Amino acid sequence: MLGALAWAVPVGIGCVVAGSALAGSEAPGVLAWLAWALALLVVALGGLVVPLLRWRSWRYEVRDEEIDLLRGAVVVRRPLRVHLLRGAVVVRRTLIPMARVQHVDTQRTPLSDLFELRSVTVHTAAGSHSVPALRPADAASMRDRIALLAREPDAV
Amino acid sequence: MRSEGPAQPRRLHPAEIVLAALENLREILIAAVVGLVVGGGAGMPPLVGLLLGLGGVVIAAIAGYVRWSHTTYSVEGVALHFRRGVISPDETSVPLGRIQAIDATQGPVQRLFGVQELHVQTAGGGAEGEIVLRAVSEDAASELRAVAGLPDPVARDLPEWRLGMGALLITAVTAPQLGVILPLVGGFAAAGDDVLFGGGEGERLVDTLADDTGTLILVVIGVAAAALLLSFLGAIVAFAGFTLVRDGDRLRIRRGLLARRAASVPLARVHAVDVVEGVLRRPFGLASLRMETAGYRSEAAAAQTLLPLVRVRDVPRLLAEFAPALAEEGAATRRSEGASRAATEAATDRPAPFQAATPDLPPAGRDAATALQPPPSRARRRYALPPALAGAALGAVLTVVVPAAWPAVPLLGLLGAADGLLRHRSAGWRDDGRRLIVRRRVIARRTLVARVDRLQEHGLRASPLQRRSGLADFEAAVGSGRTGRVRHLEAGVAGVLFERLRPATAGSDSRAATPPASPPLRG
Repeated sequence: MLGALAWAVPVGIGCVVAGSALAGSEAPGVLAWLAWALALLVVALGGLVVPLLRWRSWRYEVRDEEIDLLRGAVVVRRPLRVHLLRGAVVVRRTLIPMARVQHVDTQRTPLSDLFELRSVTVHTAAGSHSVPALRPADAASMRDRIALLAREPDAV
Repeated sequence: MRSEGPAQPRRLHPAEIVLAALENLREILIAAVVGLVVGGGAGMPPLVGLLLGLGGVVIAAIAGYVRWSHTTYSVEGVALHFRRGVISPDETSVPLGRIQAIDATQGPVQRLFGVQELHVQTAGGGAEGEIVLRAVSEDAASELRAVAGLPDPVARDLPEWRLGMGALLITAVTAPQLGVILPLVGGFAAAGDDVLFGGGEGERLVDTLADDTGTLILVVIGVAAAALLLSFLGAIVAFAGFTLVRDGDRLRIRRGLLARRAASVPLARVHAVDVVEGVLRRPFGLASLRMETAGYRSEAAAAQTLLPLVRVRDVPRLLAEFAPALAEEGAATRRSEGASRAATEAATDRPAPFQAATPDLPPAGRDAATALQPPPSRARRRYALPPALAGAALGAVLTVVVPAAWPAVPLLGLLGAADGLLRHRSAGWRDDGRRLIVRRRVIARRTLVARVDRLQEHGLRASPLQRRSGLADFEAAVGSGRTGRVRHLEAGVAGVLFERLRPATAGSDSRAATPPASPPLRG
């Protein structure tokens, strides 16, 4: 349910790919069937499997001094060591020091309203990062917590 | 020197009339040219055109006078007020205490009248001043400085760097022309497309052009030459008379041939310096230095130049002089160099999945202080393979279009592989506790020297293939939005670097005492 928003985009892409594959296949018989099968596979992979893995592997943690974002990773921590073991697609881990946060906001779109979801975006001087598909209450409390922790900036 | 300022609103020097008139003229120039061309086409006598032009100058001069008479500045209470505008005046007020610097510069007009252009700099402003007084006499300028409690800029021995005439020419010749040429070539290709496949006017062009391959080639060469010349002249105009001065905790940069541009940047906002060794500069040991500043993202590329042309071996000395926070620091560096090597060694005893991989230790050489830690040699394949495949694919596409071009497949593939290997050789990183140094080559070799205490974010990244071989990319972003990245490091080494840069650990010497974080939450 929470990952529903993240599914939507790959499903759309899968549909587009499928559509173009169909439009492009004027050849009858086996080729058309192959195109269909490929389209189905793309939709299934792009629309269900990949988003599911992506959702399963999204982690975030807000600590007093930093925000830790993990995409596609199962992390085993040992002192002084991080090991990226496995994950869905590309594993990414991003760390944003709390002192660098300039502002934080929550966002909603018509689609996310459909599923009662919000995303939280953290802005720094270098850019921004979003945590997608959160429950409204979680998103609001995360935003307020970051805003509170980021309140005392040091020199930019 | 009086310590009380101009309490009564005061006008700028009358040279402002000329400046404002010139600005007005520039604004109506395009309209005037279009009008003249259209008018000339319609058979208007030249005398009428001349009269119209004169009328334009007179109107511009009158408008300039009106603007000058409605532009005033004053110091009332504890703030500098600047008021301009005829119909709906704008007023800018800057508290005197907030003024960090008053920079003076001179354009051609200002030089003619012996006046100064003053930029009143505050902490929040951009490279241009918060308030710009375009024409102020010397006396009024020093009076204003005294009011703001700032020292006069004269008679002080400040570190200064100038771009000489010869160096300017070399800068212009070796300027990165690719950025100028590519859009032009693209535009030309699009135009060619129109010529070849478009209708009407284009088809007549085809008759005259496409039949004659020689002419076409000449046109292409002509366009390329024009692009090179433009780039050359552009660099001359942008960097002529480049001067960098460090005044305490501010950098002042002056440059430009036609318009003298002045920028004043607080050193605290320079989060990183990028040493860019362009293709044409690197063989001669030359580079340009860009500053990565927070909050100046919208400035033009030339405005981010710290030093347009320097010898690479002079970079440490110049950094020490102009950006001490980014310079080598003898004792501190040596100590953390050892720490960083210990970190690499610690990463060697990794658990079973990564046992096969042994990280490369930095070459324990004479200049260990400046040596970067390279990615492991076994990562060479990862660097070489993707560009090789891309090159081969490009060759394949060419072959489909022109079958005779089949040798392009292996050739471009090999070129890609060679490029990848060179990238592997260039890549490297170093963290000496104060600075993070990340080097990468795409076309130019770029070495980002960043203040660790100003990093905006940092992260790890690994694709499934990288994970299988225990490699990971490391990246860090500075306040200007520039991201430094080293690809294909040992996952353990990248992890150690990641941990060391965390706010809890960065800056403290007892890095081993990192408390293990609580398990992450599910989103």
